[in-house]
Amino acid sequence: MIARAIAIASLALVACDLDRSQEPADARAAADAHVRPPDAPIGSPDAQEVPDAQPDAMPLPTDADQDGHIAEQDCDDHDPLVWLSLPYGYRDVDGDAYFVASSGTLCTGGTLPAGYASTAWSIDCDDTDPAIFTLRNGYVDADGDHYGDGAIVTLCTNGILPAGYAYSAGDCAPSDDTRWIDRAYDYRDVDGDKATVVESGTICSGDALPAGYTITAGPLDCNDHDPSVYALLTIYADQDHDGFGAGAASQLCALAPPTGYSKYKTDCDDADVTRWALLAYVGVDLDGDGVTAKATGTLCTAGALPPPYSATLTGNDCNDGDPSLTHYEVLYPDPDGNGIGSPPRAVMCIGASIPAGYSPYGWDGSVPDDDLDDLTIY
Amino acid sequence: MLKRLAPFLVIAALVSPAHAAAGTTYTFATVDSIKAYEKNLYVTGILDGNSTPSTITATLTDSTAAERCDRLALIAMSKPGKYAFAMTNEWGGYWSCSLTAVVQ
Repeated sequence: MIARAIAIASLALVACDLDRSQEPADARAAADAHVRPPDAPIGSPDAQEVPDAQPDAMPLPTDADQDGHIAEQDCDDHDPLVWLSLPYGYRDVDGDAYFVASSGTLCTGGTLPAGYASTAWSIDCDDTDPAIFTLRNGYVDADGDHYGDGAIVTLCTNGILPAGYAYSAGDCAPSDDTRWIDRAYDYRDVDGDKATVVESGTICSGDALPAGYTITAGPLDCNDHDPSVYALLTIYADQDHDGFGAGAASQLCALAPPTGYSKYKTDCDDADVTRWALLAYVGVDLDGDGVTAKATGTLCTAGALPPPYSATLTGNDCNDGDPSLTHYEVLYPDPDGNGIGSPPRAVMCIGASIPAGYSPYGWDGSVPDDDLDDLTIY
Repeated sequence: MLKRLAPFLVIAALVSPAHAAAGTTYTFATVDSIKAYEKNLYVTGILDGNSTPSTITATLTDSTAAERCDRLALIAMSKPGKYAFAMTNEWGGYWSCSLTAVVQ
């Protein structure tokens, strides 16, 4: 194509020369002096266009930079690398691949160079700094606990909020990096004794509720300002100061009852310091023979049953007024003195010995032992 | 005589027969009467240490067990003072009977 254009131009020149052949020679020479030499650059003094001696002469198409684009179609005929003027709508001056809106035209080599674009997908919030390019919303985080405070601010960033800013707002303690969020509590333990009082609310906290606040109930604290006490003590008046009280109960938040009071209400005689425990007995041993007779009741004591009272039975004293008689014995009259008695029996209250004329055995004159043989045990 | 038996037997005999508590042993100084009815055994006599007769009622596992007990009671009844017949209300609701020769 280029060769054909040159050929056409040559033919035109020949035609012009044929017309000019009729001119005087001096006139043609004067005109040729203003024709730009083929190798003269555009704009050079030598290249200044001089009005043709013949107004109807056709100018020759030129391609000074020899880039294949004639000067009339070359946006810069002095630069062989560019020839086509293209519009652009965006610039990326800092080269971070994020653009700002900026429109114009640029003489190009066919495509827009780096830093120019007709369309842009990523908008640069600061095209003077390649390190920041995208907007982020955040809050001032003065204490660096990742929770900010105050009004929302928009920052040009590299995608991450810089130090001193946080994505989340609502720092309940903007100047304390150990607390940033309100947490709910249901109980208080001010004195730290693990016993709690019911109190609910919220408290500015860190990862967990601060000491003294909890959502878990402990034993009920009757005094949350004294770690030495937490339990209500039920006490009773102790008039005789024997350590055991009686009467109506009252309650006190204390470790131990005060003087004149006891946590025990079992004093059976609160006017007698020597007795305080009501004990049950099931037997007595009035004669002191070591064998008890059945008798039940209760006795106000000093902690143990005194003689002759006993909480357990020892034997069954048939005569508790005579120490020589200790138990009942089934005896049989033994008139012949052979050691074996015979009915009728007698139940006698005796001591250690069998009365004369009696035997504990009662089969004298009964069936012989052999007669028991048929009582087979199976 | 019966004093030579284990002390717990003496204590057990003092318990009211009306309250046949589990683990309680009733030792008879004499056996006066025996009644067996199916699995039930009624023994009347003087419990050791007592002065008046009592009746102990036991429901055994079956009639065979009742027969074993009433034979032991019969032996004790035949030779007053020679044997100590005892009935024990074992833990678990079972009854046992025993016959022990009294050391002379």
